[in-house]
Amino acid sequence: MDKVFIRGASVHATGTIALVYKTGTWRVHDPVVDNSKCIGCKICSQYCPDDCIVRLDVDKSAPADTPRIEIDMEYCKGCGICAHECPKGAIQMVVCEA
Amino acid sequence: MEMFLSGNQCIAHGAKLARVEVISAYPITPATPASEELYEMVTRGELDAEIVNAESELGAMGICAGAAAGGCRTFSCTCSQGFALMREMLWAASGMALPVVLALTSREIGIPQGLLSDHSDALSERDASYLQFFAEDGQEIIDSLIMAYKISEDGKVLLPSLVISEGHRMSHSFETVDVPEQEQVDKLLPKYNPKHVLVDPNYPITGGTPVMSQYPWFKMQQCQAMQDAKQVIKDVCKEYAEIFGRHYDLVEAYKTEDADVIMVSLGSTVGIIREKVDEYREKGIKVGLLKLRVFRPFPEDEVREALFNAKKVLVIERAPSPGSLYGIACIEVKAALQKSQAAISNIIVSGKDIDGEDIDEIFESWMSREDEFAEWYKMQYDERAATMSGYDTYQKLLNGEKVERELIEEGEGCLSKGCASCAGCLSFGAIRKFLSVFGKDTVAVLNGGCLGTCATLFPLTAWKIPSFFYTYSNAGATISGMEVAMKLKGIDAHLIEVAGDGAIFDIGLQTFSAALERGHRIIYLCYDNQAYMNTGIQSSGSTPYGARTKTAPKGKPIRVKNIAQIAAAHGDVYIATASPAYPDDLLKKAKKAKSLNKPSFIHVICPCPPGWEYDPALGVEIARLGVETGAVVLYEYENGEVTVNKVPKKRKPVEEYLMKQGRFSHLTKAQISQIQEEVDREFARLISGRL
Ligand SMILES: Cc1ncc(C[n+]2csc(CCOP(=O)(O)OP(=O)(O)O)c2C)c(N)n1
Ligand code: SF4
Ligand code: SF4
Ligand code: SF4
Repeated sequence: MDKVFIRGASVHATGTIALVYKTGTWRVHDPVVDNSKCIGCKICSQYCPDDCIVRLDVDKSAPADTPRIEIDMEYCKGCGICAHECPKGAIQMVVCEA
Repeated sequence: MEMFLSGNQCIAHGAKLARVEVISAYPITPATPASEELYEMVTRGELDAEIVNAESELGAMGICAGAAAGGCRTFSCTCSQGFALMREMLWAASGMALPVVLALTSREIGIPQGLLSDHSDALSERDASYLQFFAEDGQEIIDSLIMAYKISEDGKVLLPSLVISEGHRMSHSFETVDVPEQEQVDKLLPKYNPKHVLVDPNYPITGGTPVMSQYPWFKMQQCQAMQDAKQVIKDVCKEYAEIFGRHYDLVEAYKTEDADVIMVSLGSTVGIIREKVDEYREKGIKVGLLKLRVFRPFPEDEVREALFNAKKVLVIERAPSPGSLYGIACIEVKAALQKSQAAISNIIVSGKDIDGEDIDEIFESWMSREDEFAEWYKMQYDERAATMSGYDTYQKLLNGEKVERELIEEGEGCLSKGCASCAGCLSFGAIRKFLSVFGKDTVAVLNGGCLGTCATLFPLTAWKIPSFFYTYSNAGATISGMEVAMKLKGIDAHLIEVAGDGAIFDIGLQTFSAALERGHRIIYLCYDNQAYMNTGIQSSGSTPYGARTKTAPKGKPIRVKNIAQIAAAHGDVYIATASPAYPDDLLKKAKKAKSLNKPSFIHVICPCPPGWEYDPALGVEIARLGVETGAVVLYEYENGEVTVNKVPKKRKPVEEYLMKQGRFSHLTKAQISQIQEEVDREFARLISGRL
């Protein structure tokens, strides 16, 4: 045994959980964004409990169906809060394909 | 009657058959299902007992001790740090000669907190003057519990008992057991009717008086009672066998008479070894097994008789004793065998799930050796885990090399993705949001609960700032010590205790209160999901009236504790409530707490899909309804004055909030009106500026 664990059950690294727990695999419903409806208001990203939505920096004059948010599908758990809270009905929860 | 039961269910059946009158337990994995089963038995009317929800294990044991002195047969179940927390009352109850019986589903004691089978919790209390019965299977759990009451309550004994099984390995595995008939148990076990301690206004006594020079007398009597218990155990076992046909004793010596080599063990491992002994015997090996069924009183004579002439003895056990080369059971076996020629070795299988192949491996290696050894079984080193835990960085640090670590920017968030919280967990949502106003100069202290367990599991951590996971009862004290040290070391950082409602309202209230009183500059962030969620939804001091939990199957019969009033009673504290439905308000309060040079208590009420029983998508809507109905009032309290931050134009009826949650679905109209009245009253008081 050349190495041992660090005493006190300490971890001298940060955020290692994200390397192993890809919580996107838990999903049974995918949030699917309708870009033509999304206005980039950021409400969904404010409420996502897993910090999985970022608003993209899109100019107001960009074409209507330009994506204005991006969902991190590697970690999104599919809770549906974003879809439920979106004032424009721009997110649909769709059953994941097997 | 034959039934297919888990170990925890066996515990509940044993307690029920013993007709316990007072039960008090505190949730802890993996013992909780036993007390939950007892709640159900009481709710179904199968058991006529009072179940008292305690605020901690120390409280649970105190309730049992009080009730036992009051003349009732009492029961509790726990394990691990829960049992460790009971310690003061453990010694008090045995000192007062109170025959309380506890069931332990043994598990490692933290830190680090584990979830596997280890007997350190029970065996490290071997001197607390408790009879200790180690059960091998579910059948023995039931039988031992019934007998334990009979033995403990015997006038020659009058000491408490522990019936010990193994966490998860036994508590969560099912087997067919013969559950004794109540009528027959009643014949064996009459009502508890103490004469040495009793509550009777017509017969005043003083119990538990302090002593001076007589102390050794009382202690000696305790020791003597332990010795006398041996015969009582034998007698009760005999009587039990006559009624139920199952034979028990202090020890079980299996094929030891002519054995050259003998394995010694306790608990579930015994069953596996017994089968192996038969197998090895067929191969012509003269091997035997000694089962230590009773560890206190320690059956020295029986152990000596069974093992004395063996050439080799191997103690396989689950309790290391740091500072001794040997485990706790082995130390005792060695003491009993002082003059024997046997080579006595020891294998520690703490935290290991042992099967027949493991016994083969242990046995073969032992047979091939002549020396006396004490070793840990199969210590497989996980290189990947060590690397992931930053072992290389740590080495550099030790070598004095400069180590550059990645640090977060303010607004980036203190927790990474990948936390194991449920989909739609608004506790995590709120914690992430709150911490987003803090940067790298922030230290978090956590404890048991969903945050602790979903964000950390060696070598995994979601934390990007320094964080320390202390024990559940102690967040307020540990963080106080940290604040003092940081001041001394000139470290200028924000200190945040992130704790659940259980940790603040109940088990940790004492240290929370003391920390507030001392006025450390600490931010207490209470993510309040209104129950003990991590242990599977039991009531806390914050569970609202009427809400159904596992420990309130018909709805909680009492109102919540007003934690803000408690916090305010400590003087200059910034107090604020918040909701995940109002992120801007939450952020404003986080920033304010960050800017202040005094303690802050931020109380965020967080819906929890499994605990509140709703579709996760509706969490924010429910949180919003909480505020719109006034069930949750968002306010700040400073300088003796409440300011309500969100005043709904017209408050919605509270029923709209309640009916979205399954935990309230059973409420009657009358109960809903009662809740509405309470909400109206609370709201009126807060809006008038009073806490
Ligand atoms: C002394 C002690 N007793 C019991 C436990 C078991 N335990 C771990 S978490 C928990 C409940 C936590 O409830 P709460 O603080 O409300 O946080 P939540 O789980 O809801 O996040 C309990 C009872 C423990 N870890 N330590
Ligand atoms: S809430 Fe709806 S409209 Fe607003 S950014 Fe999200 S998806 Fe787009
Ligand atoms: S479904 Fe839930 S986890 Fe996924 S992006 Fe929406 S809010 Fe976030
Ligand atoms: S049980 Fe509740 S508090 Fe715990 S992780 Fe799940 S949603 Fe969050």
